[in-house]
Amino acid sequence: MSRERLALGFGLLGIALLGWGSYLGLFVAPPDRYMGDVQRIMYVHVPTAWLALVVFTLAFIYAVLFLVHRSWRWDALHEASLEIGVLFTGLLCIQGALWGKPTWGVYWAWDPRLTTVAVMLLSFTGILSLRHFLDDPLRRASWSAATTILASANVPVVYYSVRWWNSLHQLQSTPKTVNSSMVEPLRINAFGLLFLTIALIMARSWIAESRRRKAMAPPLAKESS
Amino acid sequence: MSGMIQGGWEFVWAAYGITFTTLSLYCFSLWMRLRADKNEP
Amino acid sequence: MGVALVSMGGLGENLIFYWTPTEMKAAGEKAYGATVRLGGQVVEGSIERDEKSTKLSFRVGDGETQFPVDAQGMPPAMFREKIGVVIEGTLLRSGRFASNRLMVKHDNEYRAPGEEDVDTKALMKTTEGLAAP
Repeated sequence: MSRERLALGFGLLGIALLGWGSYLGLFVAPPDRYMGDVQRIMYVHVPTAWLALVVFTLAFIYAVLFLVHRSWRWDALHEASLEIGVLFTGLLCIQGALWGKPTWGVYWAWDPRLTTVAVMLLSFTGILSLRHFLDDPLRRASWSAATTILASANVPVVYYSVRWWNSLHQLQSTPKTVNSSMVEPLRINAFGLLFLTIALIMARSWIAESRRRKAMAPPLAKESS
Repeated sequence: MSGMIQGGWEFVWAAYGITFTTLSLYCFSLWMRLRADKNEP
Repeated sequence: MGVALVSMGGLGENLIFYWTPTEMKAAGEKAYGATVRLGGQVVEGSIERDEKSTKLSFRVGDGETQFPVDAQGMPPAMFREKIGVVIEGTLLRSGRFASNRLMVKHDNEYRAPGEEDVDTKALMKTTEGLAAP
């Protein structure tokens, strides 16, 4: 019961912060001098991007932990972070397209940032469907952990793509390049989405755990000892 | 050609709308799946 | 792992999204004919618009090299002097770049209208002492 209360607390805190930050971003922060009101998409787009990268980094860590410790706990967390990472990356592409059309003039361009994000979305979606098709829990856990480690090589490339190559997408912003009244809603939304993500990963991993138990997977060596 | 985008709130509402609707639906689906798991031991 | 490395290498080659004017000049013969992307800054005072025929011409430069560009139709709202652009099109033998698609880049600076590259709050702080009697 207590871990459920903890997740609920994180979730509600996250939702409250997202409400507050989005209110500031939509109605209080000034418009951008060139992008006008369209720039307000930044307050959801940038936190979504940060959290998508964080969640896929977690997926990598959980995949390594599963392969090292062979505990179902890490497999459940691995499954949770894969699904939530794919969800966030999907949202990221939609938000980016809606920001790109009025500013760049196009919804999508195959520039290095967008291409590497597309590779990230497709590879992790592929791993999720691989998990769906493998019935044996042990094989599902180890194969998907191995493929996650491979697909994770692309995650830092997504982050650095705008620095390494000529791109249409702009560089990462720093507090110096952002008006101070725009930094506040950005930070609040980032923390809001972080807390909500913690709650989502916890809840989704319990679902993965109970499914595995129902499939009556044999206990692994470590757990039975 | 002023160089500043005029209007465009429809893009802003679409981005926020899609993001928060999707997140709400996902939260709701997790809630329902957890409840279903609890009811059948 | 080997497959991953090879595909990453292939990706690296495809990641040349655009050439700067200097790179396009250096590419020589390779730049002609094929559809390529040219990226740079719209040169100050170079924008010429023919309102009747929706023809738009301007120069794109990177501080070193410039190319004259011919485009059609309405550019994105943010198009102006000194803004970054990426243009998809072909380099003609005449030395002019014929645009099929004009995309506008925006940098990572977010400022309120009328604000120069100075933060208003930081400015307030520096003037606080002056305002005191």
